[in-house]
Amino acid sequence: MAEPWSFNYDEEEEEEAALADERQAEQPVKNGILFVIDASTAMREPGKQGESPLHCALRCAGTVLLNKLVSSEEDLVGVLLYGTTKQHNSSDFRHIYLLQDLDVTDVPRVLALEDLKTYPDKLEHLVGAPVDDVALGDVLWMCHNVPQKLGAKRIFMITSNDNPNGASLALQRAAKTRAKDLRDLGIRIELFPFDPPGQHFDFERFYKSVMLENLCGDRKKIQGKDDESKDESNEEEEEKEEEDELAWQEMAVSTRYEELLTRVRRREMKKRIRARLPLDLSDNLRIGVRMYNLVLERKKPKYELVYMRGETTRVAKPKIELVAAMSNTPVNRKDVQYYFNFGGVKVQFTAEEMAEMKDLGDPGIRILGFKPRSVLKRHHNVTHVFFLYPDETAYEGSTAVFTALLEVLASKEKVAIARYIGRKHTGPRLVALIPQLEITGQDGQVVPPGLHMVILPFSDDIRHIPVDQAPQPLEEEVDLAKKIIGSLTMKNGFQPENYENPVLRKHHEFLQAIALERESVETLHDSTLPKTDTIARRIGKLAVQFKEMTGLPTDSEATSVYSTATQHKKRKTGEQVMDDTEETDRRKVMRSEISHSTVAEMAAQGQLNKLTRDQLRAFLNSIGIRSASSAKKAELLEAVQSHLFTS
Amino acid sequence: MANKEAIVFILDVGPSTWQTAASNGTTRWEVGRHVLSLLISAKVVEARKLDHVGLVLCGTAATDNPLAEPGQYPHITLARPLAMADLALLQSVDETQLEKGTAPADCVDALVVAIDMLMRHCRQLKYSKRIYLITDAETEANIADLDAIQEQLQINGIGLDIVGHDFDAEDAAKSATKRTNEAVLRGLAEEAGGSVFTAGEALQLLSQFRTKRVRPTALFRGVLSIGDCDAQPQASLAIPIHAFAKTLLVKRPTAKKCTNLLEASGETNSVDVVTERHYYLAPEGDGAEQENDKQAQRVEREELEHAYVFGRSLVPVRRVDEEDAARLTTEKSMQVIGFFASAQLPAYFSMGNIYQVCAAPHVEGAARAMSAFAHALYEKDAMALVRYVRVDNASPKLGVLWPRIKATGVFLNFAHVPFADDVRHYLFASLEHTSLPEPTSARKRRRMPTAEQLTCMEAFVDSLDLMSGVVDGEGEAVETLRSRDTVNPDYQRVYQCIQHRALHPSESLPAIDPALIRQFEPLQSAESSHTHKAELALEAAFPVKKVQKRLRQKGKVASAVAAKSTPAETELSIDAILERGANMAHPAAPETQTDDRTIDESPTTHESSQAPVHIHTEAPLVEFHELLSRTDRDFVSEAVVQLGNRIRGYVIGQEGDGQHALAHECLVELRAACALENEAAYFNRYLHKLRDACLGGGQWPKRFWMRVQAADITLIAQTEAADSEVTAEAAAQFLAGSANAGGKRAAGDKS
Repeated sequence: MAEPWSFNYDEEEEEEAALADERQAEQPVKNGILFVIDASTAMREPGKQGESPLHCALRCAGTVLLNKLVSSEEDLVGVLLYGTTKQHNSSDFRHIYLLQDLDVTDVPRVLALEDLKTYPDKLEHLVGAPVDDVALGDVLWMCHNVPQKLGAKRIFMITSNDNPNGASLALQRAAKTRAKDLRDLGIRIELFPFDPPGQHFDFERFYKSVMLENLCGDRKKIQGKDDESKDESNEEEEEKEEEDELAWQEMAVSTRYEELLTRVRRREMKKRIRARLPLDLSDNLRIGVRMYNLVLERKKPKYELVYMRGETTRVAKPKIELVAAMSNTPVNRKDVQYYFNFGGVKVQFTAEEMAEMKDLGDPGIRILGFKPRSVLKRHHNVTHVFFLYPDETAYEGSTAVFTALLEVLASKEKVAIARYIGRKHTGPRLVALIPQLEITGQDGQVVPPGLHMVILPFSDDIRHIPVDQAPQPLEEEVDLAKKIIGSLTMKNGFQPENYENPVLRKHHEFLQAIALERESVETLHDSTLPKTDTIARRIGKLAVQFKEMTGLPTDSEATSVYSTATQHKKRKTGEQVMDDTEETDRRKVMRSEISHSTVAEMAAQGQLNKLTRDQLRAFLNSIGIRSASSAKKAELLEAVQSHLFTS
Repeated sequence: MANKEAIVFILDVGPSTWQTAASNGTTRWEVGRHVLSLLISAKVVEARKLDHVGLVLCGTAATDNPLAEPGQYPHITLARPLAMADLALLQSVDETQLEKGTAPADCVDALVVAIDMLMRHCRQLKYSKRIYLITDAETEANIADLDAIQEQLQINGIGLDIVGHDFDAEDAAKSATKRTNEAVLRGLAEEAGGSVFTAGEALQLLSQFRTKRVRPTALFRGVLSIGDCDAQPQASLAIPIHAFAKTLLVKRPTAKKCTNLLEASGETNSVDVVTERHYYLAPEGDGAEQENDKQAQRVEREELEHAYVFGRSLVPVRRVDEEDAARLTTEKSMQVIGFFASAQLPAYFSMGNIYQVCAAPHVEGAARAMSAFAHALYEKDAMALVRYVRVDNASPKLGVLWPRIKATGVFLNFAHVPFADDVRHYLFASLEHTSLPEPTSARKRRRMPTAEQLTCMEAFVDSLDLMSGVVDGEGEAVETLRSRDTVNPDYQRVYQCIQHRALHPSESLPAIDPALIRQFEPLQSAESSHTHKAELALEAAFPVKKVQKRLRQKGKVASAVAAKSTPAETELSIDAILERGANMAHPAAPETQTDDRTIDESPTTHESSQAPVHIHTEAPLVEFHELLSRTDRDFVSEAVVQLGNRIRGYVIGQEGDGQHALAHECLVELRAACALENEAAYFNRYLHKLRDACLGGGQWPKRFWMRVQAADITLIAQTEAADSEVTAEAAAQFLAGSANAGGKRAAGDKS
């Protein structure tokens, strides 16, 4: 492999890098979350719903743990209780019980927590009776023990005590110092409060100064210092402050498990920056933006390749080798040239030339002008949409410019048209920047403020599809269709949260069944299937009328035959070659090698064409001829024929 | 559209073409040649196997065509029979290759030769046939058989396009022959449903960037269903549809690999290079065995199974299971889940390319039903949410359908929308004025645009209006930067390079066509223009400053790279993987450290002769971080020792507290760095010595130590760094102890 800093262009690496961007967004770095749960008297008293805040908190931690397990995320999670009679921690602090150390979650841990939340007595037995007024400084001290290599390190603090150690100024000051230490170590404290019994959780009493300390106080000090040191600490500070603001903005008291879980889950997902880019408004006004994916297809989690035919199961790792086709001689990467077929000739380029060819500018976004929002149509779309948010850590003053642009675009109902270059060696794209003002709901922010970046198609990307001239529909037909639409209207519009990807669900459940050694997988509830009974009830009569009026076939036969006919036909022709093998065996046959004599026979009869690409490749492979995985069938045929001819 | 295409180009190269100057200063021969080469190169780029082109030259010195008999069809050469366009054809019209004909020839004769070629080649097969004639029409034509020719063109469905040199000149400027011929040719082209272009028009048309044509093929032929058509055929609807890709990113052509190195072995051409992925099993057991067992076992891809991470364990899933039990069974379908108001769909929910969903042709009722639904959706301003499965057992996708009603046809557009799993509920700090409490308003104000700033931005946005910025020939404002007017520069650039290299193999890459880049340049505004003023005002209104990148960041990257290159991660056995989680909580044990460092140690002994870096007294922290981030070798130990010495220098033996603030800051940094970089042991020893030196060093150093106590800068405990031997309590007591007991060491300190 190439050293990361040396110049070594490779086409495949280029493409893989582009893919890796997507994958990275998909597979975030490992993060750590330590639940720090207050187990004092107040927390153990049943709330309005009969469930104590402590119980809610444990349930919540259990759910987070289970989610990590199922979604194959390798984040570290831990659970620490304080205000317990018994103690269990490495420093032997009293009244602190480390229930689960910060670690990758596994099945026993999930089960253990499940056990505790199901049987409150067990918890009481394990950690002992409640103790009040534990020194918060000690609790926070315990939280120092977080591995440095994690991405985001966070403490989720769940308590109903809005004035911990209220009686002792010294203890409170110690707690604040500890909180600041944690912050300096890059560990964030996120607060999830419950109302104390009979009162309201008062942020002003203690936590506000902890949470917002840096927004209010330290800032001035930093500015007082000389410029150089200020710049040094700026980047991290800015990001921390932004998080602080957000935490404050999102702060709300929970009363029930569902509320707590919603809030925890909202904070749990760590934002993954896709890219940091400069945004130019004019030749001399450049700001920084961060790019995110708010919407991105979530694929099945990554897998390792394992060998299970030995005594133990072992992991296999791929090694990429370059070899000359046909002769199998290894080739050094630096001796590789690149070529395109052009008019029957191989037109060659060196790696440097390939890089030069693809260099059409530096990464960044340049605003070219503005258009009314209405000009941008929904079908001007080719891929998913990106989200931009100002990056104060790259250019100080970005937020003000960005916010002004956002507000002006929103009030004028305009979009910006810009040139976007995502990475070196990817060409420019035309994009539209759509203003998005913040939308808040009951649970806080619903849609964040920023700019949506839509990649626009080039003329090359738009295809002309000929359409048959449509008959002007009768008014009655349209009215009937409107009634059908009306009777199946979803009041709240399309809400993605109601539709889980059934493929992922199935995958997760299957894994879970294997891991927990359960016998069978429960039948999956596929939330994406239409509710056909309801539909039938609502449109029954209308459908009959509509079919009569438009002349659509009324029986299912005609349409169902139509819908699958073409597909089946295609498959048949493919299968004839392989006799009448069963559907399930077909794949195996495709993979398996075809014997030399069969191929020779087929060649003699001029039937080689009937073999699939895979079969041809497999055959070539079996006689020691290497072919590119991207080789076209014609190329493979040629290779097979030339082999048969010479042998 | 027929799938096969046959085109014959006729190029007039007779004496009149190269002896007469064209209107733009070059010769007609040159212009004609250029037009032809553009036509041919488009065909070479498209590289369609079933598209064949041929070339007839008219006015050549020799006579070489199948119809030639003495006195018949003289000076016409069949330069190239119908075949796929290739580089040789393109090269044959290069200026150095193409003949300058010496004998005038009848272009109608050439036309007959071309028709003959087409008919022989295509016979009765279904080809779309076309002739391009490029001529100046200066040679007298035999028009006796004109009617027969016209009939031939019509019966056989051959299209005729003509590029005429100077057809746009004043009649008076044309010769009598040319006038007659032009009328004849125009008549023929019109009857054959073709066009007549002047050479200038042709060049302009052909010079526009074009991309490979794609013939639309349906992605999905099935029904759009509402309700369950099988179980409840009465109470359900099924509209037969075809779906096509309406937008699709055209990818840059990918290069293949080859090598010229093996030429010596007798091969004349370059040899293709393929990438192979081989799989190796990590050796079992621990590191000791690895040393002996370097020959890792190679296995075939087919022998491997997928294993998914499940908490701390890996769960292998057998391939059969993955294709069967773990697979969701689905049926090919596009089912309506429900309808909703268009306005309820946020713009950012669109996840992929757009499909066009049309009524299936020639199916009873389909077109009417589609039309009725499209109109109904349009009138209600509604969309349909659908579940789409392309073929049986494909993964279901969610999509929305909305109507498009155009004069040319009525259809629905389809866009992918996200599942619950695909939406990331990221939270961002508000960008509005209200959300923060009072104390932070100063900071907030800095970030909120002022009223003046907003006014500047407004003026700027107004001044760069793309709907009115450019005025066309008739004085009408035109919208600029429309999708349909822009081309993919990437794609064009690659083909520009390929063609250039193919024709001029020894030259370096051509400069990029400026027209490609110009598409994306901001509109040029005059110095005094409205736009320019608005830009200047905007730039002045917003002070923006680039933030210097922190040097530390680099160090982190470098160490991450170093960490990655250790083999441990790649050669884990299953058991090791199972243990992985456990290990992660405990950072790697520190390397054994040399114990000979003392506070008085001279920094110079450790310096690299290659690139010496000192930590100076002026800007200690900058240099400290610079040292830490050096990648050429590990400077960490030296850096902490040097910084330690600097701190000591600021405090010990100094009068006054002038440098205490700096020393304090450095000490905090030193402690953080030591905790991070496995230097905790050094720091703890250092702090003891510093304390002793302070407490024994007079009034000012003592004050500094009090400052350290107040700031709670204590020993690095085990809880912070694994290489520390100091317990948390000992660390906590260290400062307290020192206040009472002077130089006495706290319990638990083992150094």
